[in-house]
Amino acid sequence: MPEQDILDVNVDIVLCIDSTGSMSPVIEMVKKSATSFFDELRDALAEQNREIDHLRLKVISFRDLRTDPKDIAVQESRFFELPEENEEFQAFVRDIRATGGGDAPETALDIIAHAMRSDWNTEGVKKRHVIMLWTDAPTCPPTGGCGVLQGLPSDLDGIWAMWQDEQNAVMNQSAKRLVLFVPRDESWDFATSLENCTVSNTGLNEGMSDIDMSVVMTFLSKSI
Amino acid sequence: METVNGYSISSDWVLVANGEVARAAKGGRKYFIKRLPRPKYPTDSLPKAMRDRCIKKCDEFVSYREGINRRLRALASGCPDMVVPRELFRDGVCYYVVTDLVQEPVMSDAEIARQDDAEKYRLMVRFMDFLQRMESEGLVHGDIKPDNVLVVRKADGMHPMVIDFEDCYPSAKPPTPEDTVGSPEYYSPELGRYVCRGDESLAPTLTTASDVFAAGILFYRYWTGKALPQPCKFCYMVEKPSDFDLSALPDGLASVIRGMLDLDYRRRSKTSIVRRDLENLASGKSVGGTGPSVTRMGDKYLVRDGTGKELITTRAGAQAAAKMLGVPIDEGDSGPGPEPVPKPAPKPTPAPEPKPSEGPQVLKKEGGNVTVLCTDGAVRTMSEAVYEILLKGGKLR
Repeated sequence: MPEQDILDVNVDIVLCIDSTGSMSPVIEMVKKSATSFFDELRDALAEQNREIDHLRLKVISFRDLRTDPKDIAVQESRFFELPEENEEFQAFVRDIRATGGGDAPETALDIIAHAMRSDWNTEGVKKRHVIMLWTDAPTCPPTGGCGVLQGLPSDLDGIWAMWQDEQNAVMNQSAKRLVLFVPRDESWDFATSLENCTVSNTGLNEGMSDIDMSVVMTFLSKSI
Repeated sequence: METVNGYSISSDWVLVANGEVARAAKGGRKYFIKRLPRPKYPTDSLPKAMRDRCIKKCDEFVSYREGINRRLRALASGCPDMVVPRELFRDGVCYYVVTDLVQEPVMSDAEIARQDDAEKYRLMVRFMDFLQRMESEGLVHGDIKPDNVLVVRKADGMHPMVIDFEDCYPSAKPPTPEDTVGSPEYYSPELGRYVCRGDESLAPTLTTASDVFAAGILFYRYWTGKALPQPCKFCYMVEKPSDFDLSALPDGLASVIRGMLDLDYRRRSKTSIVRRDLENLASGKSVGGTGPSVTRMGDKYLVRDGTGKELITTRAGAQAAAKMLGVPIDEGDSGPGPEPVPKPAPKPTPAPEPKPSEGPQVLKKEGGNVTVLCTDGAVRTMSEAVYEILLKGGKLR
């Protein structure tokens, strides 16, 4: 069998974590599971007879772009290759602190737009480019980045176009997936208009206390 | 209670690999409803140009899928084992597909494997009935695997309820390689090449024979209750058919499945042959080879004399052989012509081509005469003595 006929599955995941004060349960969960993230995802996929050949993980920790200081409003890592760079991934996650945040709503849609521009892996036969976002707050309409992030859309149509318009989409249309853990709030209704987008409200109206990683892995593995 | 287009949703939505599913009811009947992840219909607020592009994409999707769904519904009207889309509709920005709900309990692999041999053969025959129907309509299911073939018990035995036709496509006209789905464990070699190389010129190789390969893997599971042992990561990557370990099967079934797992889609057993052989096995008869046949393979023809000998020949040769053997020429799928040469391939496709015969093939010996199919396609009859002289002298090719 020629090398070109070997089916390899390359998955990139960008974890976008709202790191405002109320989000400490999720941040603690991510920290706790950082050591086993690769294994847990591999096991969840194995249950569905799937496997990954190449996994990269990137973290974007965000707060309110409008109210929080620039230096902590967005903190992002590079893509880490897992399991090889597990230690670097854990070190980055360890440093995330739940703090700041203004009054709801927050600027999560800006972060989704920013995550779309990640340097996704273009190699491999099967690619999955997954953006996974957690927040316990309603979202405000896109702000254009509030001067913290540049070149972002300033309205919902702009986000929609970046995600799925034939002429403006920035991601591979077959590979893209969006998984949102967001509260049940009408500000998030917009997400239903996005292709390949899964929305979960699990636990998010109860202070995120009942979120556990197995739920996350189930959503993730079925989205891949 | 949530209602979508008149369907009352009677369960939670559950995330699956290609959407979200729930149970639903309408007019006293129970249904299965799936919310598709794409496409999504645009909202009114979008700028006109973007909205128009999106609507065009949605319309094309609906037109394509409805065209296939209509053909499937016509096929299913005589085949209750096909659980085809009843309705495709849009509600708000989302598209939904509705099918009947399979209400009988689904049998496990172990339960199926425990049934009598004849019962299992009948299950396979029923599945081949389904594939023959699909072949008659030139449709490929595209994602044959245990999850999509729910085996249930009915009054007359086990039935394979085939579901999930969302990836069904016309033979030789698959979706783009990137949009082609399915489980690699059930990929045929031609599907594996198409997806891995991302080469759309290989599309004509994806015919109804691709489903036959997947069915071969499935049948192994029905018989043993276990997955077919894979000599490499996936079956489609196997380099020669003998690499498949079918030793857990009785000889007759192993022979049938080996024909289904032929790495060359053009040589793979036809649905009618598989069905016939399984029916014979179900009634306790043996299957001795596949019998004589003449089959088109692109611009050449494969002649099998029924005793294990085969050769490649021209159309004229095929016509002569068909006449001699008393069989019709199987022109096969209208889709595939000669196998396209993959663009970036440094080497030709790895599927073994049938080797052209190096000499003449004896078709018949009778009354001291020999009838020979020559490598140029001509059929000649001569006395055995003349045959020996010509053959030894190298004058008969």
